[in-house]
Amino acid sequence: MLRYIVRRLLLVIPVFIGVSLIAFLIMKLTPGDPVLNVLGLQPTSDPSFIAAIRAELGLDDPIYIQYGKFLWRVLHGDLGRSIGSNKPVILLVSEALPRTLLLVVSSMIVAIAIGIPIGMVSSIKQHSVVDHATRVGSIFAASLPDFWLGLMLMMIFSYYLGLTPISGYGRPEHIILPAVTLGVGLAGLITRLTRSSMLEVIRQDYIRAAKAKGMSEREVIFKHALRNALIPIVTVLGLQFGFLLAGAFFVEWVFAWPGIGRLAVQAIQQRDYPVVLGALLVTSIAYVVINIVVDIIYSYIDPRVQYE
Amino acid sequence: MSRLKDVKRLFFGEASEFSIIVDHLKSDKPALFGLGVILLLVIMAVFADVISPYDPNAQDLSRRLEPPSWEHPFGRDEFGRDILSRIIHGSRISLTVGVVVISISLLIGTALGALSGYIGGWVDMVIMRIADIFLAFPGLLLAIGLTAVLGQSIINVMAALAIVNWPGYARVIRSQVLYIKGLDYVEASRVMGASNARILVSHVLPNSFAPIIVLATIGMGWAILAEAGLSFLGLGVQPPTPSWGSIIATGRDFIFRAPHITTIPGIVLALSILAFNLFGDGLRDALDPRLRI
Repeated sequence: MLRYIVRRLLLVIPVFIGVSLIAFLIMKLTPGDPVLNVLGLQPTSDPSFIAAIRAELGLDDPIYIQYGKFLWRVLHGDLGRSIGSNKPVILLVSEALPRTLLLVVSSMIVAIAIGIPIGMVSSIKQHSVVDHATRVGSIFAASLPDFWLGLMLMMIFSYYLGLTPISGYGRPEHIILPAVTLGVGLAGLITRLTRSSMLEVIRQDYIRAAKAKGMSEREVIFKHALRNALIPIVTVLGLQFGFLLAGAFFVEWVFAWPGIGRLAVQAIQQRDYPVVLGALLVTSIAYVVINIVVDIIYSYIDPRVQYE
Repeated sequence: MSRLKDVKRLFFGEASEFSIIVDHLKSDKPALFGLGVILLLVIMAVFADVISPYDPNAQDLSRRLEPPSWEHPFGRDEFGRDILSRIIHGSRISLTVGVVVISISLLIGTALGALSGYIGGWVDMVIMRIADIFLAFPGLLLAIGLTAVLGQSIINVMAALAIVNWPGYARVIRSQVLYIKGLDYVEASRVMGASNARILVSHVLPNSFAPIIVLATIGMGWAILAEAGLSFLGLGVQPPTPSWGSIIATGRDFIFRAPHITTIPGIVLALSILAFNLFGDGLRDALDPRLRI
């Protein structure tokens, strides 16, 4: 077990190198001269002065040395400074990331609270009207574009019904609409998964044995069936984390939620490339780390997982 | 239709594998609905110039934000343009992006996946590690980053989406190749002297077709959604070219005064994604003999 965890953690290294390499290459593709970006000079400035700064910034080094230096800076938490506000990117990102994680985790709770009960009812009443409605409804929910759904919910619940704030951050009710918007698609997926997973489990011999021993239907479902049916759902929740992070970019933009997505989109519109790259790099690293944590949790939940 | 019945029909020559698949699809109502919507979209995109009642870019500022009416069933936008015509023309962008992104991803994914699975060894390791790195990134975020630095254009959107999408196909093709190349009939054809290239092209790839067609269908829905999302953020199609995502984005500013601008293109977008998902699901069930119960 410990060997598995260590090996899984070691796998982060090549992935991190790959992620940072892609970020570095994107940075190199960025239009405009970095010297001018940093100093805000006109292209007509003294060429020898610019050449001196280029040398000082290491832009004349071979590309692999530049990458090495970039990696060194990233590992030390130096993601550069925002062109717009001149604040360190790491500061902006570390302020925004927890808010995004809060949104993502809240949306997962929404998805679980909707998806598991509906999926269970659907599987218990297989082939009924409820079951058919659930199947169509869940696939429909998974097909709704986040950014559009957000606008629709905002229009209905904030503008027409006045139940929730239109957008913003600070009070607990601010998170309701963004979390529901982001959670609905995942709820559709969890509903389908719970249904199929339950259907598979309730046909197993040990469920029949539990019923034969005289356990009530309720006890069989909650004590035996659901617990085993939950295993694939936990995996999918972990895998969906990345999709939720990407979805959060749109939802945060719609609801003015000051997370990493909004930070990145604003930076894209202001062409503040260091912030864009910092936000993407940190989000990707968060995604990789969370996937590993989920893998490790998964190995605890299901001892049958092979650590090969 | 039961699995046993299918086997019987195949065995007694009453039906081909293809006709069994078609029969299954015919009895799958959600999949048929999906196919119907997809056909409608294709017709809309191909005949956009003929079908659309007005010029999608013709402005009439005196009648801006007008709600739906008999004359303009989907209303007018902030420049007084006909939204129905813009949605019809927007379907061209959506479908083009979908088809181009999936074709490029398939081409790269199939080539690399087949090489990886068939040759094995260090080639396999290098290709799969590269795929792992791409899969470790949340795809849409990488696409956002790429289009942000490459510049806002439809070509860059397609390039970015294809770059983030190919590893999934490569993985599936690789696993299919690994499975099929170990089967007896492939071994037999090797013994008979068939070259590697011949085995790959005439045996392995055609048999990998089923999972790929399902992935590609569902992938179309993803690509259409991703394009709309990027255009919503202002990274995709630039005005005045109509794209569903950008119509929704501009409608956002008038959402309380003129909700039809955002609502209607969103419904069309959601229906299109739903159609590809339903049809992909139906195809999966029809193509996989184990699910035909």
